[in-house]
Amino acid sequence: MNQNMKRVACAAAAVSMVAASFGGTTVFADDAPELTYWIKMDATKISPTTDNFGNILCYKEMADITGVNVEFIHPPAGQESDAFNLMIAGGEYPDLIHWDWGNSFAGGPDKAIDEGIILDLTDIIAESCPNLTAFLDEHPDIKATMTTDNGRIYCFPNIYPYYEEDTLIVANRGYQMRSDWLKELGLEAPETIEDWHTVLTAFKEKGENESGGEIIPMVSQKLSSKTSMIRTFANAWGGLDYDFYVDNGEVKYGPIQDEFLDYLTTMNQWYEEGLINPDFSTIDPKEVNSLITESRTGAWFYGLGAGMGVYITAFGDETKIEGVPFPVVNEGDTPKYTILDNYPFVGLGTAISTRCEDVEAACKWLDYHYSEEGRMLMNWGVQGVSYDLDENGEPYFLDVVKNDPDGLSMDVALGKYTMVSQLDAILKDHRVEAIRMWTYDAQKKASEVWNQTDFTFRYPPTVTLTEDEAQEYAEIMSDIETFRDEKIVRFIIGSEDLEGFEDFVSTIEKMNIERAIEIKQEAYDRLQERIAEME
Amino acid sequence: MRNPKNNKSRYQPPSVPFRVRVQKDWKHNKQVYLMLIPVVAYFIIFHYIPMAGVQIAFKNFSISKGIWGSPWVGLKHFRSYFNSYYFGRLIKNTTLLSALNILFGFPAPIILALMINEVRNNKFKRTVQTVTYLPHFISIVIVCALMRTFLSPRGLINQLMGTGIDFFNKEEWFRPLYILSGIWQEIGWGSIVYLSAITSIDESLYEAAEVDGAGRFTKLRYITLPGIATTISVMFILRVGRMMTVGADKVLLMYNESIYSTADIISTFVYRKGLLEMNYSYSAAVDLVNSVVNCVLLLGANKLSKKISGSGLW
Repeated sequence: MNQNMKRVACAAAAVSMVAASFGGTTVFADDAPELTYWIKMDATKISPTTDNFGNILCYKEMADITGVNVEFIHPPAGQESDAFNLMIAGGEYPDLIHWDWGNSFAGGPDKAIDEGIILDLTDIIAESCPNLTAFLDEHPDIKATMTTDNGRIYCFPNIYPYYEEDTLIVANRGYQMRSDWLKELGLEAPETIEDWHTVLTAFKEKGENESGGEIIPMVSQKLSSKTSMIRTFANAWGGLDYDFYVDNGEVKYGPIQDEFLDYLTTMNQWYEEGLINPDFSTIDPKEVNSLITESRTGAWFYGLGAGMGVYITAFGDETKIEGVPFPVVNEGDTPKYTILDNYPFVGLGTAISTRCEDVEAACKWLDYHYSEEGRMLMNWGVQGVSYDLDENGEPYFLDVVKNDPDGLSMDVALGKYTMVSQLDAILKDHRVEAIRMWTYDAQKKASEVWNQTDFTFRYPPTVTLTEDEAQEYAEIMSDIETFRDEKIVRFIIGSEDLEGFEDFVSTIEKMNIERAIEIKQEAYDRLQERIAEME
Repeated sequence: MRNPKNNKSRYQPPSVPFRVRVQKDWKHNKQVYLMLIPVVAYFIIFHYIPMAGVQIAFKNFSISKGIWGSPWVGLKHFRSYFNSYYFGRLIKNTTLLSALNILFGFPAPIILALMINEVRNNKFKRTVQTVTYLPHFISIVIVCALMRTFLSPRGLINQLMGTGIDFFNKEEWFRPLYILSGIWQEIGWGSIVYLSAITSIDESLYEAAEVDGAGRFTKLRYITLPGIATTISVMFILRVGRMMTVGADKVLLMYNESIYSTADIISTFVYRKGLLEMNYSYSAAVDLVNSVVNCVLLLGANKLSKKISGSGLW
C-alpha cells in the first residue's frame, strides 16, 4: 500500500515535471486532482503574451479556488481541425475537449456520445453542477438548444449574452463605408439596393484616391466565406440566403427561389460595371485589409472589433469610417441578416471525454465557470488587479488593462488576466464585449445601426439531425453545394448567361433538394418543439 | 563475404526439394539475407499492412470504431461515385489534363536534353543546366503564388500585354497555365535522366558516323535517339501508369469555384469529400477505382512498349 502510494506520487511528480517543462504552467500541488484540457489557442488576443492558457491570471486563480489543476493542451495554430481529427482517430483523449461539438463533429454530438468519445452530461450536470443547473433552469430556451434530439446534453456551453434584453452588441459585424468619401460626394449612407448602386457608382467615378491608386468601389471575399459582402447582399431580398433560411417557420433553400435571379442579376450588373473587386473569388483576407487601409476601396463587410477597430486605428481618424445599415430592396423594409452567430448557444463548448477518470473534479472546475465569482473572474479578472467596482457596484477595468505598461492593445492586455476570447466554456459578459469593441465612438454608432436588423431569418445553428438524416443530407447536399458554389460565381462574373438560371434551378431540384429541405424542416420543427416543451 | 556468383549451390538441379535449397542458400548467403531484412520489413510494414485499410472503401468508416470495427456496406460508395453528378466531368478533366500534360510535358525534357547535348561550350552548357533545373527546388506553393501575382488582372503579364484578363477565373486558361508552369518547373530536372543516358552511348559510334560523313542531325536521328530509346520507353510507361493520378496540391492552389468545369479533378474531389466533408469511405472508394485504372494502364503501356520497341519494364 505504502509502496503503491509512493509510486503514484513519483508518477505524478514526473508528469508535472514534464508538463512544467513543456507548458511552463503553474506549480502543481502533489495531491490535487489533475486534468488535461484540449483547447484552441487564440492567435490574436492571447498568443502574443503567452503560449499556454495556464499562464493567464484567471486560470491560476481558479486552480487555487477549486483545488483542481488543469493542464492545457493547445493544437498548432491553423491546424486545429486536423489535430482534432487525429486525436479522435487516435483514441487517446484528454479529459476535457473544447470544440464546436454542435456543428463540427461529423454525425453530430449524439454520435460523439454513442461512439464513446464524450460523456452524456445530462445527469452529471443535474447532479454535480449546481451553478450551471441553476442557470439552465432560469433559461430553459437555452437548455433546449443544448439538448440533442435524443434528449442529451453534451457539453458545458459557451454562452453569449444575447439572451439578455439589453444586450449592447447584437451584430458584431456589418457593412462599413468611408464616411469622408460620402461627405465629399454629398451622399447619404445608402439604405436600399438602389442607393447602394448610386453610391458605388459615385465611388467608381471618383476614380482615384488621394495617392493616385485606382478605386474599387466595394471589396468582397469569396462567397463561401461568412464575411462575404456579395453573399450578404442576398439578405436584402426579404431575408433570402445563399443557403437554407427560415421564413416564418418555413425552411427554404435560397438559390432556388425566384428572387434569387433578381439578386444574381443585380450582382452581375455591378460586377460588369466594375463596382465589385474582380478577384473576389480568389482574394485572401490580407489583400482585403490592405485594399481598405490603402484607401483603395469605399465599402466592405467586416467585424466590428477586428475589422472596423483595426481600420480606424490604421487611419488614425475615426470620422473616416462608419457603419451603414443592412440593405433592403424596398424603402422602409426592415433590414435582415441571416448569417450571424447571435444565439446564446451555438454548439461550442467543453465536453468531458470518456477517458476522464476524475469526472467529479472536472465538474467542479467547469461548474465554477458558471458561478457568479467564476463569471467575474473569467470576464474581468481579479478584483484589485485588473478591475475594480465603482460606488454602484459596476465593474470597470483598471489602468493596467486600459493602458498596458508594455503598450499592448486592450484586447491583448486583457489576455493576460481574463479569458478574452470565446475559447473556454464561459458565460460572456456583454459589458466587457462592449468595452472591448467600442474603442471608438464610430464603433458604438455602428452597433446602434446594425442592432436595428431582423435576425430571425437565420436557420438556427443548434438544430441537430439524427445520424441517418445527417448521412442522407450530406449525400444530397455534397453535390448540390459544389454545383451551387460553381454556378453562382459564374453567373456573377458573367462566365455563364443568366438565362441558364432556370436550368440551374431544375438541376438542383433533380438532385433532390426537396428531400434535403424536408430533413431540415423536420429537424427545425423538433427544435421548436423542444423549446416549447422546456418553457 | 562470399561472392554469390561463385556459389555452386545456386546451380543445383531442381530435383532437390525447395526447402533444402533455401536452407543451403541461407547457409551460404546468410549476410546477404540479413541485409535484405530491413528492406523487406519496410515494405511489409509501410506498404503491405496499410493495404488492409483499403477495406474502408467497402465500409461506413467511423473514426472512433476504427478500420476493423466499422460496419460493412458493400459497394454502396462505388455506386454513389459512378452515379454522381460529377463523375463524367471528373474523369474527363483528369484524363484530359493528364494526357495533355504527357503530350506536352513528356517530350520537353527529352528535347532539352538533346539540345544541351549539342552545346559544345561547357560553361554555357553548365549554366543552362543549372538555370533550368533550379525551379524544381521551388515549393509548389511559391510557384502558384508567383503565377497568381504575375497573372492577376492588374499583374505584370496583363500590363505588358495591355490587357486585363482574369486568368484564374477563366476556365480555358487553367490547362495551359497548369501545363506550362509544370514544364517550366520540371524540364531541367527531367532532362537529367536523359542526359545521363546520352553519356552512356558509345563514343565510337559517333566517330564511325563522322567517318561516314554524318552531320549533326543524322547522328541525332540515328545514334542518340535510338541510344536513349529504352530510357524513354521506361519513363513513358511509368508516366502512363500514373495517368489517373494528377496530384491535388497544385490544382488546389490554382483553382476556385468558377473554374471547376476544367479544373476539378479526381484528387481535388477526393480531397473535398474526404478531408473537408470527412467522408473517408467514399474518398477511399474513389481512390481505389483510380488505382485499379492506373494498374490497368501500366500493364497496357508495358505490353504496348514491348510490342513496339521490344523492351518493357518487366
